[in-house]
Amino acid sequence: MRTSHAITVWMFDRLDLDGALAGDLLEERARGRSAFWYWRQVVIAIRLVIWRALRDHKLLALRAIATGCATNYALVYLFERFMPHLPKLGPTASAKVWILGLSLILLIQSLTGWVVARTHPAQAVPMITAFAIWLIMLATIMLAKDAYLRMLLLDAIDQLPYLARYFAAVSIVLFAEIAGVYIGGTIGARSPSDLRRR
Amino acid sequence: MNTINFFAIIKEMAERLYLGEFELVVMLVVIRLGEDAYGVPISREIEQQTGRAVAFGTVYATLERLQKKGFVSSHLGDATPERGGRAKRYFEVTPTGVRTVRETKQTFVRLWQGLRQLQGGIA
Repeated sequence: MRTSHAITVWMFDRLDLDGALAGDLLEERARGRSAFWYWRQVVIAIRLVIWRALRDHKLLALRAIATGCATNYALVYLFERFMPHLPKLGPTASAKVWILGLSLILLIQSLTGWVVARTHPAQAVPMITAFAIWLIMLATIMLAKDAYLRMLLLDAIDQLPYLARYFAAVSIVLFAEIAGVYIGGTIGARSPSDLRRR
Repeated sequence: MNTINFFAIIKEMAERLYLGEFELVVMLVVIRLGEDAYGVPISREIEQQTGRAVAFGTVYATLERLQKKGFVSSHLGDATPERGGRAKRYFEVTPTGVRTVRETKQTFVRLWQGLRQLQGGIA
């Protein structure tokens, strides 16, 4: 319980959430509330504060998305320039290619998340979330335009195993991208209370 | 009650009171609890009185909003070990808040009056 509470306090601190709320949740947990109840409350509190920050700072969110895209583009360009023979990920790629590819995705997105967090110090986590939402939207648009997926869907009778593999591959890549953004972003994010003290 | 009067009351609510339904519930609960009004009892009292489960985060977000409007003030109590060293934040309704709650009540009473559908179990 202590570890999970320390994680909550750390997250609340990064999001500038009232420390008294973390204390209230721990008090209720000690009175017999379940772990599920506790984590549900934590998720709701975080969701509320992120949503409110995005609603109140729409222009900042757009700037965060632009910063993320520019950083992403620059990093991908650099990797492709200096490592031109990078293998492409896909449902038929080998495990070795997948490990290498996912590591690269994690690295690129972690660096991107870190840059977004550092360039938006007062609202780091909400702005990382704005960029993560953008990545999900982008992935959805690209999926809708993908000719290979269209072919699989049109010929769905025999292609179901391929379709499942395709969606699994896309989900893993997207998960790695989002995880990378949050890993780098939370490392780069500073506590708003620390920023105020400076 | 005529239509013009009805809209005048609604306009007055929007211009002066700024109290949503949940905000009003929270204000009434804070007044009811008096000196013991901090996150845990506030959330419990809301659950008991309304029969609705509320998230602590929602209660805190509402209290923060009310604080910004000047209807509620808060102070920190002592930190305790059972709360992981975190202090309780006690809330109290300011005189402006009390006045606003009264005005909201009066507005609702005026809105209620003259509505035949809500009188004597007709509806």
